[in-house]
Amino acid sequence: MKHEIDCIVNDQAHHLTVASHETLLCMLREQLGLTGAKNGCATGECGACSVLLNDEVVNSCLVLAVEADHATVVTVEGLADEGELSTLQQSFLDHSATQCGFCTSGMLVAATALLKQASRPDVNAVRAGLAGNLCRCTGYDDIVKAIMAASRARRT
Amino acid sequence: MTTLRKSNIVGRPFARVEGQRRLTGTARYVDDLDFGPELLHARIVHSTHPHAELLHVDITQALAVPGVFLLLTGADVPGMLGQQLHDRPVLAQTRVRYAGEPVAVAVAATSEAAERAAGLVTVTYRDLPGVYDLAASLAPAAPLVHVDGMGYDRAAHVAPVPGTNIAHHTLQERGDVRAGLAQAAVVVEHTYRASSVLHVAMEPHGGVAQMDDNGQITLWASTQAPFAKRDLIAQALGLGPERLRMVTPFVGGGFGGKTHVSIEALLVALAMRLPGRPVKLVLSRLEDFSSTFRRPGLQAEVKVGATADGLLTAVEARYIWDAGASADAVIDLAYAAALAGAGPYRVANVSIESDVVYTNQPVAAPMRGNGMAEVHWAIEQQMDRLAAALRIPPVEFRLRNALRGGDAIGGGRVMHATGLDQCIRRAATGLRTTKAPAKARMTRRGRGLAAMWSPVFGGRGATAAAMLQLAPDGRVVVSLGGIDTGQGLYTIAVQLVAATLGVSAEAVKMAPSDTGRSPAALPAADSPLTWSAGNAVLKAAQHLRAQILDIAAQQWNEAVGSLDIVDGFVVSHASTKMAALAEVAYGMEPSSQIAPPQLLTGEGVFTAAPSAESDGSYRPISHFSTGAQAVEVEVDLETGEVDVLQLVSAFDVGHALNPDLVLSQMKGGAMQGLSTTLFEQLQFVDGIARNPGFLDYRVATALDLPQTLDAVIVEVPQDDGPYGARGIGEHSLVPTAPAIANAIYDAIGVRVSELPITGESVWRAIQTQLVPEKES
Repeated sequence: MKHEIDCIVNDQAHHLTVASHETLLCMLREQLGLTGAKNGCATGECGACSVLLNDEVVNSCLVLAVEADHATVVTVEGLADEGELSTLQQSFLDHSATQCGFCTSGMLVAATALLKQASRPDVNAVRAGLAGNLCRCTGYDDIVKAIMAASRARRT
Repeated sequence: MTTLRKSNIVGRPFARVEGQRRLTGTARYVDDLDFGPELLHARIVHSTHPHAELLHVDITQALAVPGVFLLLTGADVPGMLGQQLHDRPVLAQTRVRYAGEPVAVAVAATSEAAERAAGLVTVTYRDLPGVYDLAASLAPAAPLVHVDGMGYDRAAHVAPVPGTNIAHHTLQERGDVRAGLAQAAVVVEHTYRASSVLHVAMEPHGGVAQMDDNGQITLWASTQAPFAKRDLIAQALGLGPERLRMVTPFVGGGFGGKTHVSIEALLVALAMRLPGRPVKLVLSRLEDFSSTFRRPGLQAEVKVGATADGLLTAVEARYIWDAGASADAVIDLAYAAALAGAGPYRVANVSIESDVVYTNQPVAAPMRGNGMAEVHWAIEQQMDRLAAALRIPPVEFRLRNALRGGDAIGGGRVMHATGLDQCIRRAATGLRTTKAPAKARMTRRGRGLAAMWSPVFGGRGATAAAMLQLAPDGRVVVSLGGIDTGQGLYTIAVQLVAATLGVSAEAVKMAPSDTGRSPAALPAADSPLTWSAGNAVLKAAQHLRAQILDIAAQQWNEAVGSLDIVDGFVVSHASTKMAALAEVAYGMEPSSQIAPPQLLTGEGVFTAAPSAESDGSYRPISHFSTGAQAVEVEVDLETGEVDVLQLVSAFDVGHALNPDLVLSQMKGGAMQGLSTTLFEQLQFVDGIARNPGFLDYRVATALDLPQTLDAVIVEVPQDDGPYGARGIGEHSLVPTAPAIANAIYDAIGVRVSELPITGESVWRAIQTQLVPEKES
């Protein structure tokens, strides 16, 4: 069965027709061509598909596209401002916090939410905030350091 | 080392050249490529039986599913895969040898239809007795995994033992191991085991293949080794390699799991039957876990002797590798283990057997470390046991025996200059002073260290090539066969080109990897790329530079010696003339729209110098990487839980071309080491994987980070490395497991001999090895 939905993705309004079983991840990747969110497991275990749904981090592989009706979605593609990296993205680049990059989109989205929720997260809060996002390359340390540095940069 | 230009780019932190794309979601991995509405989807039917005859594969119901285009079974694709030993069918033929083996494949217009069709393939099995661990496989009269194994095509050095499940036997000896053991004041003998772990790249295996009207096939795939795979696929399917072109988009990690052919041959076979249509196959996480590659299991029987002064006299070891249903990918690993299996130490008498054994389990392929992590798990605990028996501090014991430049290491080889001793010292002293635990009663802290070495091979196919083209707009385009799987190869290449040529890093662009265009390179395995591809890039840049300077010298009627290239301009120190590179090369302004007749091209080929080997080995060693790690752990005496509080890595990288990338490799490797040591194990019951998913197969999360994760760069230059550099990526998890085990021993006095080290295994070790502590 098909459904008509309206949603705002990365500040752009969309009217879309989605199937009942279609996931938000599928909608983003296949209908909108936003392939930044990755399909790492399709079961909500790896976090590579993390996006913001009404400012909350969700695994978009576990959310149905119809649930995005009248919602605001932010993907990794929506984090940079007119081609200029966000403070967090620049900090990831400066701290060598991306290697293969497959988890990076989800990490950035999770970190963005983390810094929205807590203005001064300590290192343990940052680690806990990333617990749902698996990374096999970096060992997380550079990612945590990048987020801590971004949070300091933002305060000044 | 050739004399190189001083540089403000090489040897300094430099952000990843493709970082921005990875950080903005615009980096395209294979599943992100758009093939339009013509795209077809494939789904594999996997064997559900670990060892059985295939009586019948019925595809009639599957063919009736609406939208289905094609079903293939083993009868349609008879080829065998193998580089050195052709022991793996593309699709199962008359029997299946592991649960998860591809039996058939369905292609349909949608992935849902392909899935439905795959589910309707009916396979009739007749079960055969199987061998599900090394003991069963090596037992007398064990069922054979490959009854016709002796008939397989194989390279001359592959040595199967007839009538057994031993697919390959190797033996490396030097000195007289019996005499060496007889000389020893103390001998320790013990058996260690490492069970199967998985590579777990975050990006699952996947690809797309398409054949054009001329019969040319293009395969886009997530791979670490496009050239080697192209040749293997072509051979298995009976194609000329010139018909197959491999394009490698962004790769989401590999760690060895994407070095060997997994689904790619199947994809090409499908594309050949569906002319014009792109066919896509991306594995689910479940399939990625249960039907691609796993790290080989190891049983290590190791006997080591030393004098009362703590000098090693002999190492006698037998390394037995559980290769699963195909041994091909483990043959080089077994050889490396035989060569390096005594550890990074001076020892005159060595005998090492290294055997590759079939079992009815998924196919093994080397993971990061190429067997060295598994071998050092055993050898580095043995060193600690010897040190304890001799009452010599473990660090001191290692320093007394550590290899130095000039030491004989067997086969006529001599160790090159190495920073091994520095690594051991820096790792040990890198541990910080910590406060004693608050609730000291039921927890104990301890510190441990392990050292490592790892051979980097320069033999078969150890040639890397690079090509640079000067574009009319002044940019320099670099084509390289090696793959950046995230380790930073392309960044290093850009740094080397910019520094050598004399242009800004922004002017250097990496061309996508394409076997139709890129020159060949070693796979991104054994960490050879910084060294091999780096050298090729360096030579190509020198070649291009020389041509540009020659042209300028002629045009300006000046001596080449008075010319230089600075920041993209040829400058003359004699006449103070100055012109942009493209202007010199093509006689035009950089902004000109007119294409020059022919682009100026720099080519570089690097071939490792033959090593001083006298054993006629099929795979000569180029050099060794060395390093050490030290850890502090806290062990809970009640639960056996182990918490790694701090971890320090120190590796000799020759020269860090990009210190940030080197430190990232060390830290990332250390955490992968921690994860594979404490958490990871693919568990099987009678050949069936029980935990094929992230929920039940745990990998480290950010919460598992030690309080401090430090890394130290040691630099003893590699004489034939670019700017003296050696690779690092592969080596950075090798000592982690034994360092943790040694720290546990330091904390509570028990030894764990089997990986992974779990709370349960430590608790059991406490119950069996410790006399009850008296209350004080």
